[in-house]
Amino acid sequence: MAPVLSVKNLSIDFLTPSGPVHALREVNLCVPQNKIVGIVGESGSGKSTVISAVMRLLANNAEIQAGEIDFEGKDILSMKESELRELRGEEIAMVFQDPMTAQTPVLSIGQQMIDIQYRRSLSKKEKRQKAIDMLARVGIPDPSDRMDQYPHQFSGGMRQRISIAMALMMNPKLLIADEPTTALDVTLEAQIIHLFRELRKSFDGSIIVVSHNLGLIAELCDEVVVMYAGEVVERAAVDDIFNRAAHPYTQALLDCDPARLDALSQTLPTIPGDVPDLQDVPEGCIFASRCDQKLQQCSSNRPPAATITQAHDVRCHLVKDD
Amino acid sequence: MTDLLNITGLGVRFRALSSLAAILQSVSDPWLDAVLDVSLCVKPGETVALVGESGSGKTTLGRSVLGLVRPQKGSIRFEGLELRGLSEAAYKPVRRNIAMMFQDPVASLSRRRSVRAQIAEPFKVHGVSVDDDETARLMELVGLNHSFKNRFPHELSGGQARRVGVARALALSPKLIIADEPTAGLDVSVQGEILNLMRDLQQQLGMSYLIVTHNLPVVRHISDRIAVMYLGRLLEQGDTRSIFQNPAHPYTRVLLDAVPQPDPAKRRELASIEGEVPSLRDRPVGCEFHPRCAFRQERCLAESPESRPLGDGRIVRCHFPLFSG
Repeated sequence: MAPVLSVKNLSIDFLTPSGPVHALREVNLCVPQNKIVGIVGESGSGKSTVISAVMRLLANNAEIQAGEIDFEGKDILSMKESELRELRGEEIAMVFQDPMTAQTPVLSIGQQMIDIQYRRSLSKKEKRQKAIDMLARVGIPDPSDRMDQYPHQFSGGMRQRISIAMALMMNPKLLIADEPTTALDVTLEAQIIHLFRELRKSFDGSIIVVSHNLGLIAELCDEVVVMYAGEVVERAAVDDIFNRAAHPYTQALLDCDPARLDALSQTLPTIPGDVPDLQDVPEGCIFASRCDQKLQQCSSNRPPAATITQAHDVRCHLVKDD
Repeated sequence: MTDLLNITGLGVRFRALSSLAAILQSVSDPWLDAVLDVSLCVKPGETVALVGESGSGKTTLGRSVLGLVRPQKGSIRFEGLELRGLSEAAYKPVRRNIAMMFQDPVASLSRRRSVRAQIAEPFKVHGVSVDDDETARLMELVGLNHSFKNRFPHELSGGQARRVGVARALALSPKLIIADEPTAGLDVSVQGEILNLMRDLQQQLGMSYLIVTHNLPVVRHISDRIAVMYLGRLLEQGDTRSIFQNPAHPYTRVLLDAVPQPDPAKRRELASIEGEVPSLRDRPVGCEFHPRCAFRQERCLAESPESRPLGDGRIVRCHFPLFSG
């Protein structure tokens, strides 16, 4: 089956007064049908830039240098504004990080959920019923009573459920969830993870989860894309990433997570050094300056993406193509 | 060993409605109890973590120690001195010995001052003379390169701004540092650096930490004792290791179980808890956790449990603890 989304060799610069920032370099990723793909990386790794490019919501100073974004056979990068309007919300929907600012405070939840359906030729009553059904599906108690309430009358966890309901309202083929639990408490995070799993059984579409939380990625995703300083360094099935990570950065990131340390240690592991300056991208491997397994060629030659198994790509000199 | 900080029966309330609004809405009690009957102590050189969900009152408790919030009930003793009711002028010398690291590292710095000026500020507030050598020493202590001294907050990364916050807290060699979410907003690789720095400094200088956080995996590694808050009350407190091994309060167990495990083999089928934290305006009768508790019995609906000690020195507020020590 053809993938829902495939990003090929995408490179994006941000133009700034002090010169271009090479924010993404030759990014490849692929979202198969009915799969949940996690994009994981630290701040500045480019994960938000990738999803902004997919939604074509990049800042004005962004310049796409090369690459393609193919969504169901259509090239997103060459779409006109009118075509993009039909794409956003309808075919690709998004759940944002902060549920407290994701909805407009001046309209009731019900009104907002009816407004989203403006492209459907249904009566207002039918639209209202669809909205109520959707709220019930995401676990809002007494949905028909709560339709007329405003966002401030809901708690943060409820608002994130409403955001998810709104995103799923039009039955999109791709749902992008950007740090969907970062703003929530741990008990609510567990509930939202559970909700995503339940919805997955009935929602036939693919999901991209962007997060720096390895726990969330391990709980939800089928495949994982690891990004570092604007590059995809490794992509593989979730079991391979967590048990057979091949890139030293992936391994270092896993080692740093205090939740993965079984032994009680007084010293927590870190990754020494800093993320390289993306205005002046170093030659060679992007992680070389912080890598503890660096070879001589790492500082001079950029490693190609090597394939370990069919679904496991790594950009590292330590890994040889199969 | 005598306690450095000893809090007993502390109560902090906030006025939620004006008296007129209370009459108009026929609300008999216009106050919200943010902290209720909290007793907690911190020993010299010890790290105590205060954990709980948003709205549990953990930040309010931390702030009340510094006198940034004035409690209405109970007592806060610091080195034997009663802090509650102290005037603003009498509080000032106390704040030389208790420092605060605020939650947002960038927002807690003045945007118009250089790093050097930020670090010198605590000295100026307390009328202590300070020279460039002293600020340079502090910058070195927290691992900030000397070249940063003339930078402004917007020129710092989150981790660097956090280091400036640590340097400011350390400036006057306090005996207690209250750290509100010291790792919030930091990447995992940087989070480890800051926590290791805090631990190294504690070993060198011997101060105590009261860490307010909701990050349980971190708490397990860095704290000696944990206090779990819910709706302003302490539900369980005790030794970190034994709480992680055998949580006694059902709420502690729920919190520990809710942390997503970074291992795809350990996926859970069910969320560990249903429902959300009730509103402070509408405290449940009986045990306040009973509406969300999987182990509740009839007694929990009617009767509020008292804090009581378990065999291993833990204190639990539950009629039917899961572990008896």
